[in-house]
Amino acid sequence: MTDEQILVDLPLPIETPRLILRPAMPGDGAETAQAVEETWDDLRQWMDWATVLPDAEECEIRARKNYADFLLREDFNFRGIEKSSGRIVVWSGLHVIDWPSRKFYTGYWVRESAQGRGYAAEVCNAVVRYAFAVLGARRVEITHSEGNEASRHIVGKLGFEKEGVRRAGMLLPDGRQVDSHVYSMLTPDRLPPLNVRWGLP
Amino acid sequence: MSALQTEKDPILIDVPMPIETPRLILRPVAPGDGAAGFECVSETWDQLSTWMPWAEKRPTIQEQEARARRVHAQFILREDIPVVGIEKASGRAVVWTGLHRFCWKLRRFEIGYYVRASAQGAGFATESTNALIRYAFGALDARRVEICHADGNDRSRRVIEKLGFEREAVKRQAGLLPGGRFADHYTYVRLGIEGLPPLDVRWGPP
Repeated sequence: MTDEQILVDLPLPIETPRLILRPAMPGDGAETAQAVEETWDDLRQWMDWATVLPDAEECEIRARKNYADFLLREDFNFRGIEKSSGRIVVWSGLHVIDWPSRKFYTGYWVRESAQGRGYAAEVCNAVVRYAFAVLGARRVEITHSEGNEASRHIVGKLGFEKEGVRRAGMLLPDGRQVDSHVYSMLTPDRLPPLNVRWGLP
Repeated sequence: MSALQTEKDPILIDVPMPIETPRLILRPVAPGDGAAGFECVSETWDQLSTWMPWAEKRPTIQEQEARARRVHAQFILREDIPVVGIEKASGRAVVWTGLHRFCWKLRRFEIGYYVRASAQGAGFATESTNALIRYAFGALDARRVEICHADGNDRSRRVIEKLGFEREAVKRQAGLLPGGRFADHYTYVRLGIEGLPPLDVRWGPP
């Protein structure tokens, strides 16, 4: 990673009406393990990493690696904290596909006990705005697997444009290989309005 | 998570910070330390470019900040423990030190340090190194703490002798110094804290 990349200044946290987004940090493991467990039925249907239920230590290892990646500007993993409860409710990120061309890939999941409130859309909207405004994104990509209607609904609502279908492009945890629907955004203009700010208050 | 478990992943090892001595707060080098690092390197350049293998070319403030961010990531990954000592009285960074080139399995660590020119002669190298030795054995379960100096670096040798390290070897032509000079490396070890000059040290959040 180059000095130019590591020196990119990142105003944080990101604040939306109901959530505070901050990087994944050392110490997040236990709460993540709880959330993964309660959401396991969903996750193991759609998330390629959800093959074996991780324990708190494995989630903590992941959180620490995520934080190091964040410091090195190699990958951005955000945690959405619900202001009203202080709980982590959304796991999201901007994954660096190619730094020099400023292409990012985003994704998300919401813990089971906080689903149905529109948090995924709120986080994704904020993260995409952040990618364009702060990280200088030229392209933000998102995909959903064939059959994942909840995810398809959010992607459509946010104004992503469909680009194509990667046939058998996704290997699901149960071993099925399904089509992956590819969407992107080249500007934040079509996003629904959202009050977002970033940086220290 | 047990403090010293390594079976699963060394990233889970607890490295309690900061370390406090009578005159210093020692903490991991972190994002934002670039400017202070740059000041220290600049004012100490003559000595650093004599003895420090990394001091080939004066770094810019941006390079120093990039380095601070990188080494903090290495700290999070438990690959390196880069430490800066802040003088309590002034709030200034005065000593750059750390536990390096370690092996979690063997529990061996190596200390290296420099004190900024304007804070030399006050015993900060001795104080911070004494603290790091105690920390390595007390908090990190060290079995060996190593230190070395290049032939001719008498300031560094005096600190090492004062702290009761035992000399193990002179590694002939093992040190490559700036400008392509080679020097013999004098290597020392401590296997415990017995005989260290007394020092009040504590670690972990207040």
